[in-house]
Amino acid sequence: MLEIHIKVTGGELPDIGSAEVQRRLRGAAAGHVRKLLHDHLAARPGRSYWKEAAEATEVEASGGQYTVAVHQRGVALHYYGGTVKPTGRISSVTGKPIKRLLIPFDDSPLRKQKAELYELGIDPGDMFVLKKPARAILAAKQGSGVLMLGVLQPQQKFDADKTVLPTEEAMRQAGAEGANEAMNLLNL
Amino acid sequence: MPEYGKRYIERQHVTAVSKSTRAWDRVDAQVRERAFFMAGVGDARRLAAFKRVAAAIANGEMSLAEGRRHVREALAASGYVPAEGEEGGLHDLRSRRRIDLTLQTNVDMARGWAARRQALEDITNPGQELYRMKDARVPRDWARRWQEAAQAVGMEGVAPDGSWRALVTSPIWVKLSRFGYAYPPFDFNSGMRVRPVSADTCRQLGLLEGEWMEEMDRQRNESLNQGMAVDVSDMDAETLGQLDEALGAVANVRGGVVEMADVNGTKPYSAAALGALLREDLPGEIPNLQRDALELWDDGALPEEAEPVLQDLFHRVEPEKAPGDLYRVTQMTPEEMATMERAGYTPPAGEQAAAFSPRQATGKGNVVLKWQGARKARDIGALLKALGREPEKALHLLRGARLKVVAKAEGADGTITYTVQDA
Repeated sequence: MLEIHIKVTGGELPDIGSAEVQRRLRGAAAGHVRKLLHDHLAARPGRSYWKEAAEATEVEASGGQYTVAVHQRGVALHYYGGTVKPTGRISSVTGKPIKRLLIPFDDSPLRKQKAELYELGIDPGDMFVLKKPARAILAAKQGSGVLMLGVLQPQQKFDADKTVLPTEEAMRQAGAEGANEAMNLLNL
Repeated sequence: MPEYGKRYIERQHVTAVSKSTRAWDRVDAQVRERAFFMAGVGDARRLAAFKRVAAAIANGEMSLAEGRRHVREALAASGYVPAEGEEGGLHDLRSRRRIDLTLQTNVDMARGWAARRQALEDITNPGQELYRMKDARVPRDWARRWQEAAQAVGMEGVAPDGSWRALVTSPIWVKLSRFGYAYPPFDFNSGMRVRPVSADTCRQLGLLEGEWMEEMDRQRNESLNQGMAVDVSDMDAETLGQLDEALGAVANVRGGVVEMADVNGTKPYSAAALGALLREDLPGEIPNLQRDALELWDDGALPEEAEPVLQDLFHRVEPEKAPGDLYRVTQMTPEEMATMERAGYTPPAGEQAAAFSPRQATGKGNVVLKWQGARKARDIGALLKALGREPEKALHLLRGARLKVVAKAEGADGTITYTVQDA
């Protein structure tokens, strides 16, 4: 879940009129910021993750700021970056504490099915670790062949990617446009 | 912090009534919308587990894959075993198909409802358009469904050019929905969603007539349970009994009508009646969010994320006419006084409500506000008294409300008295 605050000035959200007028101006400003954010997220590459994130956006304008929230797991990690490490919880497959992350290959059934390892129904006895130079790969016997599942890593680092969201300037501009349109509708 | 989506699910009442999907379809949409239920599931504990996970996913705290794992762990802990012959199928609560359908549908509904709440606040986009966000393996005939729904509502608020556009407030959205809700998803596993349509476009389509802004306000202000009294007299006695028991203290089933108390909602009450509602204990899985927020505010410990909850509570207290003038002493800079003279008085930023005393005020400050003929005052103190607290006698002006300045007088001691009235 990602939440950021963007300060706005009186010029972008005029402090005029009754409480009802103020509410309408804020609602319009927030609506325009949300539309910008929604379209920005939905246009990001990928099958469905970013489209789901676009549907999970909420924007509120109050207290001199926009609060922009994206209620989707993992968006904050993409935006701020960070290092993901195993939690140590007990694996449903091995019954032992998880010590390494499994990063699925692009064509792994884990990624295609959006599944966790235990959901693939592979017999733990058929799984093995291939130790190649510089990396360990989890694989499983499948008939006469081998199914490559993913890379085992002690942690995974994500670089910060501020392009996840529109720029603050773009969001402020969208909000100001919304407020202006609302003032026109209200004949202010 | 905006979190309409999470609140949508948290406000639903776990309703363990073991009925089929078809039987639940016959229950009025307003009752279904306020209930967290699963077809064929009569175990409240298991339902509560699904509800908890759905709320966590809707709030971005969990992925769907993580949610499946949590649900399966909860089912195992509850000793769940599917009926013979149903292992792995849709009736098996552990199956991926059943879990994904339940969680994804509820999360999508929470997000759809949250988006609708926000859409109703934006007068610059009073319309919306139905469009395909996600591909479907077997797409439904949405062209036919749109046409049938439009005709069924007499084209009320619907674009006359055949496009899939209509006002946000149009009844077509409810008619389009398999569930009878005004927001997506409009069917199980549907990839159809809505996107905004501008006021200019709506005007060109001839949709902006009459009190369209006021209708947006009216639909926006209704919480899930406000004004909800649903006729269930045609439900079978057994289901009615199960519903009555399942809804517990949050609703009354009387004379064939379900009337929701609207816990944590927006249904207006007098201060005394609302205080009585806050005092009631709720079934275990329903947090009394508004009561908790009120107590934290009185203790000076209200966190920022609870402010919307507190404001919902304050706004449901019916305003009353004060018996006489009300007074507030405050400290203002010359700039603040000038702003107030021009734009009126409103509670300062950071204050949830401004207290006005019925007695000639004493206290520190260079400005006295005399609220004359108050009709917008709310008796927040009555809520605190109902919880056993002893607030000072005061009536409150809520955040966002404004009073106009009608007179100004300077006292011999330099104190300035502003006479203010409801704007």
